[in-house]
Amino acid sequence: MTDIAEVTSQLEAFFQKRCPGGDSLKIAGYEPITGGYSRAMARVWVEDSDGRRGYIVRADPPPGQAIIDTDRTEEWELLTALSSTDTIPLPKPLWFDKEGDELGTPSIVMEMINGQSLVSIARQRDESEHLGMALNMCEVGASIHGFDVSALPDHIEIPESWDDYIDSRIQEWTVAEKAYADSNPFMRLIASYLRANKPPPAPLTLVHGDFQIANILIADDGYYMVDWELAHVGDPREDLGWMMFASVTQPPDVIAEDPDAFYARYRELTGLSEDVINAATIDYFVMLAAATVFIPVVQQFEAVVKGDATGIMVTYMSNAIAGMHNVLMSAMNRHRAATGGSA
Amino acid sequence: MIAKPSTAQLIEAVNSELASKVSPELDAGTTRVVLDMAMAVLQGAATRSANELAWMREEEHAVAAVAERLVGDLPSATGLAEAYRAYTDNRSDSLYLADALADYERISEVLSCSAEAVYADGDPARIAAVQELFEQRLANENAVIGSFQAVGRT
Repeated sequence: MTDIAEVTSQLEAFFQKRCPGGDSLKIAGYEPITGGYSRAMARVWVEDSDGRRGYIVRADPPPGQAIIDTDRTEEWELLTALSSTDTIPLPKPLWFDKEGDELGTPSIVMEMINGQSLVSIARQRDESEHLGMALNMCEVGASIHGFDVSALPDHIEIPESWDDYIDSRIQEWTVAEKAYADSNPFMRLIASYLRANKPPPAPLTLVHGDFQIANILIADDGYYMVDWELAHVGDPREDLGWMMFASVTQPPDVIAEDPDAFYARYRELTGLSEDVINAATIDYFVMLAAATVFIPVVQQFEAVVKGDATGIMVTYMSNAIAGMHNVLMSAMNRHRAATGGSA
Repeated sequence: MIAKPSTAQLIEAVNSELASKVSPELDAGTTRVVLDMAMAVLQGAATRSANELAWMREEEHAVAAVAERLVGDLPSATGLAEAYRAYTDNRSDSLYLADALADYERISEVLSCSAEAVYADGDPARIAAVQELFEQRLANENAVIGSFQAVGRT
């Protein structure tokens, strides 16, 4: 989606086919959304005999522009499966241009939630209000982790056991580093540390994969979870770990005022024990969960290392990777201090 | 060659113009995010241009000193021994960036293998010695990026 006139023309034809207003429908507004690092997102407003309303278009960006490549068909199947059960608050998926025949690139069209992201609101509000937001976010997390995994689409793999799953996630760090055109010793350090310091197991659940305050929308009727492209079945603590990870690179940390209250509420909602859910185990998962984003980022960045890509988004990942090293090392140091763990 | 102003000074001059003259003209949209990212990359490039050759050589010597001891102490760590041999057999000490990068990549593999070897061994003193090498590397990265916060995430 590069040329605005072409895009709005494609969108108008797309919506005219699907909305009651038919040919009378016009595109009343088009606004690309900043902040997404993987998909090309836009707000679109249409006007017809039913009045004016908004939608979100979530599309594949041009080749070489995304930091993470994921599949829109799989995302669409997941969104429709989640939406059909009505147990997790998320924007309703409405239409899918699978091949990009109509919108130029594979695109998902969703309802527009009238609200702001939690990160945006938290930055405007006093810190004393953050914990209340965090506890609401906790409920969203618990609803995700309580989802019946048998209702997920077939492409989402369900691991055989917790140990197999964790071992495979740890191995991802080593395999990715060895395949990387440059060398990144932090990745092999993380793998070594995780292997030597496994926490008590937890039941495997649906994991959002990018559970953070930038992906929560606050509307008048509640909190909504967006950006599901990294969802999978895994350890639910991955989401809490990633939330902590992201709170450093995209502050504020909404649980900073009282992390114990957040973890206590999460235990209450999920029935998991304090051995399983505590600050130290979440630090372990800060490191483990980071693989979901860190490794694709490094893989995309490799194109810059090889001279095959020059997009600013992927070039900027040089800074992001270094920033992530900090978060990983801090989590490791905290985990070591809390558990005495080194080997 | 024209050595002064330095590469870092040239980049910083460009960044200063972007910050003072271009940035204020842009609304908070995708173009603004692109500019903010570009300025962050340029700032890092300025810092790197002034320091990276020295930093790579300093890290290299520190890793080599620790690795030499580990190779002697941990004979079962064959991966580490091989990586260390590859480094010592090929190191160049040249000041050309491409040569320094090649040495740095080989010593980075030594550092990776050192981490794997000390965590497999479990001795706290050896783990601490390797951990210090990572802290040194991290300190240099932090000098490049400053305090990282993702641009444009609202």
